[in-house]
Amino acid sequence: MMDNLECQHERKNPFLVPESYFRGLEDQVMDRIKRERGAKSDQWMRVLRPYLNIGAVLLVFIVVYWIVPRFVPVQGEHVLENLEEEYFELDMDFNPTREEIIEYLAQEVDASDFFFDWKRL
Amino acid sequence: MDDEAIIRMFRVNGREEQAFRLLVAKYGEKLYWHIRKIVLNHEDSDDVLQNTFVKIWRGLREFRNEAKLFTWMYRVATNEALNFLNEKRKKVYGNSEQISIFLENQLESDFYFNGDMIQRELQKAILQLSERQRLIFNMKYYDNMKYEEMAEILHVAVGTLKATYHAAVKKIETCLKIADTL
Repeated sequence: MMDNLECQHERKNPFLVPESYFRGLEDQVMDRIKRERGAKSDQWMRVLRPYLNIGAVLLVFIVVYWIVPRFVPVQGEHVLENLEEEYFELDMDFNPTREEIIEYLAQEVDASDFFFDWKRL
Repeated sequence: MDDEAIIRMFRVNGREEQAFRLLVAKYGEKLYWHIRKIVLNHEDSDDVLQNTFVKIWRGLREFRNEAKLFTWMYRVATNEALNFLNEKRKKVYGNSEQISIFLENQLESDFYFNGDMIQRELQKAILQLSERQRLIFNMKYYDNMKYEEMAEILHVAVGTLKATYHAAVKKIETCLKIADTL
């Protein structure tokens, strides 16, 4: 039965290929492999890009709000230091009279000054 | 160059392409014809063959010489061709009967089919086989493979292969007799 099948149809290959198909096969296959490798690395970048963007934003945030203030002093601190120095500098020649003290105490004072002085103390 | 030398060359940095070209030159045609017998159409066969070589490229560095290189490549090609048909079946057709009708139509309209009427009837009869029978029949009848080689590729026992081939031949002869009487 198997011999019958062989005799009748002689195992001929009825399929054709385009001319020079096999000669160009190596180049075609290598081009395809290079495209796949390029697509794969693009795919990784597409997956990683959002995380890289978030990371960059966090880094900027950390630099601006954490690292920079450690090296660049706030202006208010200088003023405070200067005020403290001024406040504690004693004038040995200053010796007000009783009338001068009463006149000083009778002056109108802004409440925020006391608050500011209290904070310095 | 033997397969082991090609694999050694492939594992040397900068020589992968050279080694792979040797592999394609050595086995490309054999793999093509195996795929072509499964999917029939030249364009589809070309596509499946390229997919096969991409998979081989990816797996070759880790390939262990537990099996022969060509056996492994043949298996990759078989899986790619069968997966291609399964995808076609899912996308276009609901069941396997219709995929054989699809393949028959492909055969009728294929520019690259040069068979006479008898060859055409034989191909149509082969399409009436189940996928497994068709695969085994093609490997034995057209590629003239030994049962032991087929067993290694398909992971099927030699006895099962013989029985399947025998059943396939019987079915084809029945189909051809019916075609003769019509």
